[in-house]
Amino acid sequence: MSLAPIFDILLITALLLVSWRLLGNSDLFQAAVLFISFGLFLSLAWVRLQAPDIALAEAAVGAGLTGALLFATLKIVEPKQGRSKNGAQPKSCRLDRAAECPGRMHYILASIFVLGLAGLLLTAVFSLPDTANGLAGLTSGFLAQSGVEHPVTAVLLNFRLYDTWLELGVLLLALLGVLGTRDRLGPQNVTAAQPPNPVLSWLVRGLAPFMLLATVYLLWLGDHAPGGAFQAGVVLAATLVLLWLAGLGSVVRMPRHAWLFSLVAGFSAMLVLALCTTLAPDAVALAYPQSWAKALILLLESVATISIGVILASLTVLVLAGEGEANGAGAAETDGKNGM
Amino acid sequence: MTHMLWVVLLPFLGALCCLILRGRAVAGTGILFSLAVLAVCTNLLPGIWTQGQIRVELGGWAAPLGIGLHLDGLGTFFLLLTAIVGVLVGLYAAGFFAQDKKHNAMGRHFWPIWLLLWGGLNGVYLCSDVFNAYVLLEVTGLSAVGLTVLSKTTASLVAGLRYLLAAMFASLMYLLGVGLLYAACGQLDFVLLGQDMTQSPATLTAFGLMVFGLLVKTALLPFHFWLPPAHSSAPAPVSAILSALVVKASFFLLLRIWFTVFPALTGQAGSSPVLPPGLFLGLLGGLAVLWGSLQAVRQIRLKLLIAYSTVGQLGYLFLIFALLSVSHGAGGGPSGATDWTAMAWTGTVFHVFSHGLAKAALFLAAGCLALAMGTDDLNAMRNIAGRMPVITFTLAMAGVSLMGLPPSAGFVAKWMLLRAALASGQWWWAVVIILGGLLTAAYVFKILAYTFVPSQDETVPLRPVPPAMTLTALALALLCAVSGFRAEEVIALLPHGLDGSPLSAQGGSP
Repeated sequence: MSLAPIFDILLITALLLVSWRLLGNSDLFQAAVLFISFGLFLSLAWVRLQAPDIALAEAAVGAGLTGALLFATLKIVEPKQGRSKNGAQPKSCRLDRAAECPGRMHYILASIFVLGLAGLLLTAVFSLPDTANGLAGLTSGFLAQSGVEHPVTAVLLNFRLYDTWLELGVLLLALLGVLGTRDRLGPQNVTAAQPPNPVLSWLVRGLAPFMLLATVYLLWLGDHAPGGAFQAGVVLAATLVLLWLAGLGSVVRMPRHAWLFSLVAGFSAMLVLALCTTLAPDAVALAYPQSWAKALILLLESVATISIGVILASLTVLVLAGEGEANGAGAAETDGKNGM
Repeated sequence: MTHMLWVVLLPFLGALCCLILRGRAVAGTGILFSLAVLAVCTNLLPGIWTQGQIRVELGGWAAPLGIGLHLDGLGTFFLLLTAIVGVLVGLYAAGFFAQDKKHNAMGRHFWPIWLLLWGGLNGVYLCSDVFNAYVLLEVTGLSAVGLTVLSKTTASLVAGLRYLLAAMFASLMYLLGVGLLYAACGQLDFVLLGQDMTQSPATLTAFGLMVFGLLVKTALLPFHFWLPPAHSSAPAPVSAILSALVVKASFFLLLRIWFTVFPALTGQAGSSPVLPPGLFLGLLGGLAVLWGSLQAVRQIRLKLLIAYSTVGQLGYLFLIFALLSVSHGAGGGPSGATDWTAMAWTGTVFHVFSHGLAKAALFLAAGCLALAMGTDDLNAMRNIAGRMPVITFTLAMAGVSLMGLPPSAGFVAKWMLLRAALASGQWWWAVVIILGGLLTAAYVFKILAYTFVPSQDETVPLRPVPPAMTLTALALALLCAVSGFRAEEVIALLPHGLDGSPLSAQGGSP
């Protein structure tokens, strides 16, 4: 009982310390490691705030997948660790070499902005009413008609389905943007930087079925408890990335059409629902037929899980494999810069 | 009657088709869907004309629980602008991306991303929910960045990354405001929020954060840093879309947030704050007009000049906040106030329309020139007037509208804003409008002057430009001029179309 406040204080201190170290660090590798631990502490904070859905998503996306993407990017940005030790270039500002390094003035302006914002937020938060007056009551009131028993899933897949549909569009756009800059049509035949390690491949062979089981379990859990398409999709993505790292079949071995259809499945499933309900004479746009709600939600969630998994895995694979590809492109870019 | 959701559905459906198809079919499908979206948008017009506004509750869940779609006259104008520019830019893109293998590869990625962007933009015009608006901002922001980096040059990648960071920062600020607003008011719908908005530190902070985020997205003066590099380094059709449409979407959202969600804080609902926040925005807008136009005059690369011109022209849009905030502080007569409030609204909407068309025409013409000459350096444009008369005419027509010379749509916009400024007794904004017009004339004549300089070596060959490209650019410039000739109809449509939206709400309030 009395341990909770102490834990909270420790958690807040840890969050502040990690973010301070993270910002003050000039070594990008250390900063990436600190970012992952920041994500883990943050998901603990979400647990303490009684938001287990967000905690799951934060742990999976914020700490897991983002960490992998950061390391992959780091490999491209700092191709040779040895060269940076010569001190030829300052480490902290090489991401955007065309821009100048931030000077003292930038730091002062940024601190003024951040301090002002923090002050404003503190005043605002302390002025908030003590009793939460959100839509939680309304949500639980209509829960029985939504087709599911978990309020978060009811909001995401029924009451505010339009938002979820658009969010799947955002995920799709992220992948399309990366494909556009790489000038690829998909992750087909992208090979891992290192040849697969036999131990890893043996381990992944054993792990993959359990991870797939976890995906299905998380998906099913969303019906009545924290879980659902986004969390399940991230686990699926992690499975696919591991399979790829181990040199086993993954998104890179999928035929283009199968890959493409699983990519757009979630977005287009909701598009089809929208189309049908808009075309049908007596239907309300984006509304489930009452008796079909549960089945349709489960179906939409399942295809959304596949889409999220494949999109995130393709993104990660493209970025992780970026080193080999980027070396060629990097050389061309350096030439371009010399010309400028 | 057509369902409103079609304007979001159709572009998304088109994007999926373009993603799945390959080869020549992609551009054809894209154009087909563009025409269909234009048809649906025009089909919505009669409904708005008779009913003033339409509202649909998605999923059958009424507003506080579900998400509503809301369309009024203001939204219809933005929808139509997007559809007209979208169709013409699509036709141009079909020619632009067919010119060689490298562009072919770009075009394959262009169509799905652009149609997703279009769906997102249309979603913004229908939006009636602060969180839904955030998701739509992400859709438009991410797709705009995806389009910017299509050309894959170092300059465009650097500009795209900067654009991405600015856009992400802006959406996060907006989202922070949404979170605070939900904690304070417990709902998300525009209209419901506006009805019981009260002044408290939480709502004030939320207001500030949301407006700040949208200002960064709309590139108002101190936050314009990301715009010129991004808009000038993108491929020509993309530049046209970014300058004509994408920045307008966040401006539209700003109008909604300002006049529908926070009427109690912006001095619209009778209360008059000591320092109206609208005055501040107007001041920044006025500075943007002068600074952006001055920077445009100094540029020697055509696309960068046009991009800086966007920074300047966007400034005019923010004058409405200042013009309308003083009206209620001064407490002028209701009938007189309504008169020039309508003028300020008409001028602003007209400016959005004319700038959208003129800027798209300019960027498309610049793309034709770059294709013909291989560069967009103004010095290389010698004797272009003699060798590419259609393009020079397009540049001149679009320039005339930007300057605000009589027959064009730009003239109506600036004339209305001028009259609103004078009628409300705020003559200082009139000075800004006139000075901005003079500076605009300076950079338009700078472009034209280069095209008429006789060239020493006539032998420099020009690459042929597909007629589809020159003609679409010309069509946009001509449309801009024509909508000025028929100003009466458009003005007659607007106050009527704005019925029940902020305009009449203000006119009705004592």
